[in-house]
Amino acid sequence: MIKHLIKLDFYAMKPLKKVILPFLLVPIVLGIVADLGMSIMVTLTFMVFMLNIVFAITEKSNFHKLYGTLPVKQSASILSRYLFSLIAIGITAILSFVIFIILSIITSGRIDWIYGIQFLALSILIAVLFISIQYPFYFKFEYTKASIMAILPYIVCFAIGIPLLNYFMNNQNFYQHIISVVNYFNSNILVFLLMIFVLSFLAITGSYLLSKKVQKKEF
Amino acid sequence: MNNNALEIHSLKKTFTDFGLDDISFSLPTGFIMGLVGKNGAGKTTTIKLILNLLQKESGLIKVFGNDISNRYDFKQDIAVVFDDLLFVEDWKIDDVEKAISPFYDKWNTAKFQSNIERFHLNRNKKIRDFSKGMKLKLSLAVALSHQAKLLILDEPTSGLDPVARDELLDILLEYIENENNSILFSTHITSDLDKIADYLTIMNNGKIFYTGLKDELFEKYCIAKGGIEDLTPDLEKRLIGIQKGNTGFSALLDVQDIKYTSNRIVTENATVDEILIHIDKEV
Repeated sequence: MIKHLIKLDFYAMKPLKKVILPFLLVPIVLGIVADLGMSIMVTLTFMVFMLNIVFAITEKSNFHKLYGTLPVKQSASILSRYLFSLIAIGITAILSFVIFIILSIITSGRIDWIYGIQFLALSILIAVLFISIQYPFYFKFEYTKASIMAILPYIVCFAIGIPLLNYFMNNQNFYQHIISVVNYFNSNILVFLLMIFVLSFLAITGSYLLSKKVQKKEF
Repeated sequence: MNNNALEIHSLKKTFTDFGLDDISFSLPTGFIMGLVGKNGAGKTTTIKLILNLLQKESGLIKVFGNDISNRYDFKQDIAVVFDDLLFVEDWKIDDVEKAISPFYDKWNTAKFQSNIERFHLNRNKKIRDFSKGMKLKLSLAVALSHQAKLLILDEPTSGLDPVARDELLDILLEYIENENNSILFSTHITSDLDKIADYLTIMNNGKIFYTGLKDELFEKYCIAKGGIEDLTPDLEKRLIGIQKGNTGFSALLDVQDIKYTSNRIVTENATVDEILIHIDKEV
């Protein structure tokens, strides 16, 4: 049943098909004019915000009633939505990395694999974090309200994070500590990937459990 | 063997401004039941409780003899048509089938295609370009394509023109020709029920006023009309939803209480509309 629900979400996104394909031009243009690694990150982040639209489409199409008529568990629609999103992120990650490889060959004649993989992993983590933060709001509230509510965590992060970052950046010891951590991950790529995987897994699992707990149970 | 397609016992659900109270009725297999009541009587709430779209406070719902609490597999054998469409408006008919058919073990593509042909639905059009009647027919085509034994319709005819409504009723009569099939048909357009319903359940303010055979309803209640001076205290307390004018009154009356009327009071057969109007006046 989960498989069918995931397919249902892909069908629901059909109206966006025409928008999503030209959107792949974004990493190409960014890769050429800016930075190849950054193009992966922007593409994946952009994709995550596109994925939110599935909540708008399914709400407008009365899918909550459709789920009520179909022989599926109500909670299965939550798991399937997370899996659908992870699959979409996976596909986008692969496509953007392929574009990264092609553009690397065209622009410099060589591929910096470590740099690419690091950016890809970091981009996936950011995309997963975005989903993990936003989706419980979409399962709890109506789309319009959730769209506004989902911004709140970012505002809080910026409000606290920027002064905190400024404080630490002015602190020489902390700055050097950061540099040593970055160097460690640069020389231990497997540890870096493992850390990304663990953080992504924890975030998405926690978000899924939270969504199950807070989801609207009555329609 | 249980012969009821649907049984509801003492169903209760409370909202802040409304509630279902002690709802009980049963729909025998092979028949059509009209679920009738004014807007806000509790018809849609009852249907949502059957589908687990709402959570009941107490009571029991059985479909084909099985308690449906915490179950969803029974939905393989039921089909639901709502007033609003449950598909993405950018879909075409083929998209609907691709998206919905995998959920049903007994989905019959040939049957779906023949329904589409029969209902004259254009495969190349997007759903957003369908008329209200065509959208209803599409929902019906889906509902009738997985060999469902219980069809639940929630106000399907509201907003349809008389021709489209008549077509729908013919489709339902054809569906019920299979004696294993049953229909629960919620509506406030009572003329639809004259043609097809075998049973009626009348709801008012979240309560059941009547449930049983349609013909027995008309045998049980009549409309009493007379002058104000004919209203004796004994009669008045037995009349349901009295409408008083300057010179006379009209009210619903249990046929058993006809003995309390005088010769000057006229009694007539009641229609479902009249019953709904009078029970609404009864506080």
